[in-house]
Amino acid sequence: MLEIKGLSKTYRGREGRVQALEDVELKLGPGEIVGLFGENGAGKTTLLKCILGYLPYRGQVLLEGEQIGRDRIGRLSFATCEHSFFPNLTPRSHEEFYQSQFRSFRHKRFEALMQFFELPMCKVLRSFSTGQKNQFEVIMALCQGADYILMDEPFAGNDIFNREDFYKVLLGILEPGETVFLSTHLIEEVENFVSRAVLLRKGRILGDVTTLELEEQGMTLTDYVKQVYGYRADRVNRALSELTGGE
Amino acid sequence: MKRGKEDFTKYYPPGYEAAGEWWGIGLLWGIGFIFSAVQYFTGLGRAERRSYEWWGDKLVLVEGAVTKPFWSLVEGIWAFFLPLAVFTVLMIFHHYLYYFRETKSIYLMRRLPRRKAIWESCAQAPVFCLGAEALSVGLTYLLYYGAYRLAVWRIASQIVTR
Repeated sequence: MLEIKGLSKTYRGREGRVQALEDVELKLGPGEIVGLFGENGAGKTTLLKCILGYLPYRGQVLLEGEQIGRDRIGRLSFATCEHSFFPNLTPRSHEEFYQSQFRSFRHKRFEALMQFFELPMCKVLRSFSTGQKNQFEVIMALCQGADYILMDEPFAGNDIFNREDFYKVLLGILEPGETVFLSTHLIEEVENFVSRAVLLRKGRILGDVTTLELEEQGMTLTDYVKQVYGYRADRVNRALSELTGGE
Repeated sequence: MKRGKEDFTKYYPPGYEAAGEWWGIGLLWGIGFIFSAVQYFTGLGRAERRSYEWWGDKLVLVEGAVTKPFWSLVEGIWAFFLPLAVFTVLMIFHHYLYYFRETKSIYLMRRLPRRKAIWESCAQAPVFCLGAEALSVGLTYLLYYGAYRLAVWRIASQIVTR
């Protein structure tokens, strides 16, 4: 269980202190696929970086009830749209590097995913297309052997077919103990993929619901998100009619 | 990371291209050595010339002349190797910044179970280089000392006292 207790994060911006996250409480259980949604600047990336210990914060992040030290950090992996691989190395070299650092590296999964996405093993990553780089980033996060796989907009730049493939493959390969925490804007796309949705707005959790609960209420995830965010569908029409003088 | 040749990369950030650094080290070492040699041998020659004078066709020791001590001749010579040392220390920062270049591989490095891995990759090669540089400067001093002894011996064997 990954537990986030009273997590707050403030930045010092040009206009003074900015509250990026405020008293975030969250529990991620084994085997869950959790979508983290929110508008730009809602604090999604900051939350993921705090969990991983990349940013200092107030509050607690506990893994099985204990602080995440060096002995546990390998149980978390991270795929980011900023990419965290070494651009001068080949996938094969990455495999060797990961194997030397992470004891539970999933070699078979790595080979299978590389083959499925037809990524070259011996070409340096710098020469990959953006889509291929994203694929590789996610592959490494999935193959590290982590129990909690955190992803921050991992498919930005990939085409729709590619993303669809990935969701399907993910659902197929994840083991019951593996948890995915996926930050994305693509709500409609991941609707059938996530088992739970966490909504973030201005650093606060606005909603936390399982897709099962939504099904029972007869709602889609998109409807739920719109409802929680107070989305006004008529806003565009009204603005347009004002702009065009009500013609 | 293949076996053999690329094994050395474990002293560098993964995928780091170190050839430029080696050129820099070689160049700065060469410049340091040339400047130090020029200063040392100029000083040694001057000291040598001041110790004796020609008396007819014979070299004679100047009365009351004292051989300049070795340490006064090499004084400050180490400063020519200072840019090399500074460059080597800066390599550590350059290695660290590599993890922010093109991608954020720093995220991966900070997630490694071995906390030291990131610092080892940044500092191992520069620390090794600093050691090698210190040794090479020491050897340079030894070389200069050899030249000094040779010069003293040469003067002693050539000149006659008045």
